[in-house]
Amino acid sequence: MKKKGTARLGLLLTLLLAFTVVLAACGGDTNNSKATGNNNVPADNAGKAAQPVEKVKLKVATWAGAEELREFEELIAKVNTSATDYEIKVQSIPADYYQKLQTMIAGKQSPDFMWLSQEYIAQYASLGAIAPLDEHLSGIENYNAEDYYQGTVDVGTYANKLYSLPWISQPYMLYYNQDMFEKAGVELPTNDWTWEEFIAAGKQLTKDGDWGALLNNIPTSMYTWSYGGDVFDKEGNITLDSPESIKGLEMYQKIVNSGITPARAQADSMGNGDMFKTGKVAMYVGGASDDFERTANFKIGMVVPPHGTEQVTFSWIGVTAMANTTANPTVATKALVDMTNAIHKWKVVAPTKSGFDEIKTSRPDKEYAVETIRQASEIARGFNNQPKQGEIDGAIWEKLTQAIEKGEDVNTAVQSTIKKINDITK
Amino acid sequence: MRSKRNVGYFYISPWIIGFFVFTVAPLIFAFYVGLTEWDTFNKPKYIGFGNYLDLIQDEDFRKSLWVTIKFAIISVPLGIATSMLIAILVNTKVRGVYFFRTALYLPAIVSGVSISLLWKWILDTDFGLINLLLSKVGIAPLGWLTDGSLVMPSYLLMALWGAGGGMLTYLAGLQDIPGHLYEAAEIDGANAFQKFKHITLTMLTPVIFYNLIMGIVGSMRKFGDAYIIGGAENEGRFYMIYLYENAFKFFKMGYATAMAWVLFVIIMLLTLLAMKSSSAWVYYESEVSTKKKKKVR
Repeated sequence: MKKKGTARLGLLLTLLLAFTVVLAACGGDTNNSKATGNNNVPADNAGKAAQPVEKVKLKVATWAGAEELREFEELIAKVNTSATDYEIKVQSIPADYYQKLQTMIAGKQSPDFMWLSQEYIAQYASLGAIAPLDEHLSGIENYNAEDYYQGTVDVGTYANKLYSLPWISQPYMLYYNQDMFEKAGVELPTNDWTWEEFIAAGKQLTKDGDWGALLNNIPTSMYTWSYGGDVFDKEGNITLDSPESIKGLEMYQKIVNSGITPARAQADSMGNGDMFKTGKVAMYVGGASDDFERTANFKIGMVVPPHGTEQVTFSWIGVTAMANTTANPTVATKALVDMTNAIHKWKVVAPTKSGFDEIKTSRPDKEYAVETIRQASEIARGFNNQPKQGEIDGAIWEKLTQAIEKGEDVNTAVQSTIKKINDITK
Repeated sequence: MRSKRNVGYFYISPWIIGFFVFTVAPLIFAFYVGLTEWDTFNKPKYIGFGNYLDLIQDEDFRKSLWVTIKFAIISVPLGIATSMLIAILVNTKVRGVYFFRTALYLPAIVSGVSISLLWKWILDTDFGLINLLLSKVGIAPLGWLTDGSLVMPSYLLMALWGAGGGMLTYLAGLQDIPGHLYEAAEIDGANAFQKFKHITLTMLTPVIFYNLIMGIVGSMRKFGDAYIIGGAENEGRFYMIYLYENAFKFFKMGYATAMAWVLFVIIMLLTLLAMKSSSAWVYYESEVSTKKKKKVR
């Protein structure tokens, strides 16, 4: 009986031992998980006493793949060559980027830097995944806060702290097919067009199976901005039901009801940009660096999108944020500034005033509209992003945008959207 | 003897360890996560059954559950009937039957993603194959994926297209039915319908039962094609899609895990119900033989 018990105990101990070995193998080194392989690098304080013995190793996660990745790697190689105290390594995640990033952060394997689209900044900041930069940026010579267009800085700010540096800002522009305008005898759009003028022109251009305009890219909030409203103010209070916001949304419904745009489903299935490229629509709102000038077979013009009481346009803004877990935030911030400055000379449209003119050399096809794009960059902005922006975007799409497009009462749609947003943020 | 048994345990210990580490431990952890508020970046915060209570209030949860149940209720019996019909058709001795068997089984071996992309094109309002065919008979284009009321029929159509995958099991079942049963029935004067009802269908009940269980599990866990294809008015937002959104878009891993447990319970209850009912309608020849033998003894 005793022997049997001993054998069982032995077996149990063997299993436990093996189980522990497996767990230990899976667990990894907690120090390693704090930063990406830079334990042997002196931290901020230690660095004061002695010269760094080795460059700080940093990792930047990007969604870039293929050609874009190759160009980015070349850019990083140049940055690394001139750097004395850090070395950046590129980690490409071309598919399921945010899911993988989330898993890496959850597994304490966060990259030191990560590319983010603007709507993720508040979320990542509120969850403590990314670090505020203000303190570390103050001593960096080649960082010039004044050089950035205000809208691009605003989207990277959460709770009055700056969490990211923008590397691209694509203001939305109104492209138009000059041939269609001339053929229909319609006056060409201007930079100070109102929405009313836009609708009037659109009606004249909507004929023979062609459409006046396609605006599906415009986020619904941009119509509220156009009349001085917003979904949230900068403090995060809901302002969707303000008279200004309602006026903007009513204008959106007026545009939809005017019949100058194809149904969203039709445009989605035919490809929004393709409809413009193939001359099916006369006006199209797209990013400033879209390639219509290279691909379309007609004369193209570009102006700032129409306005209500305010002239404003949406901008798609890409940023790089720094992980909260990076081991040497001072050196990392310096690397972030160097890397971001280098990207401004690569990506168009740059979010800085000094980098803006790069567009002339990298995209000569845009030269005709450089001043217009500059004007748009000055008035461009992103959302007042909230920590639960992902869910809020879903609510806006479901309760507001779709309802307005279906012709439902704007006030009712707004109240229904606010109720849903309150449920999300409670 | 005991030493032999210990050696046995030793040899299977990698599997046992794997089972504990990769199955039991995650299950326990998942149960705990379901009781927490966890954004994945920070430590989980214990909230008891708060997630489960929130689920009751969640309109999107109810909608996604209803979409999934609706799909399961229609697609499972439809899939069973279609697969069986195809199997009966390709069980006949006609020229080129092997070609038909292969062709009909093909959907089961093609990657799910490519099939989804293909169907997205087939169902497209402006360029889709279905609307093109409909236009030939004067029917205006339908918004298969853009009109909420047509999204579910579209998914059912896609499910039917894959019925050839289930055909294989029915075909094996059909070929296992002894020919003498049909001969005996013919001698007794049974017509074709009676032979089908009392022999074919009865002998196929274990296969139907297997496909019923697999169908329930598969349809309740529908994800891949819905993730790619979507659908208007949230009619293509199946339960697993909403679960995924909570976990990876909204950073609500605790909530998503609670959803996973609710789904687990639903599937388990449906499976138990099917198994409980099986004694009334599933015929196992081996059981009958055993009973007969017992009687003889």
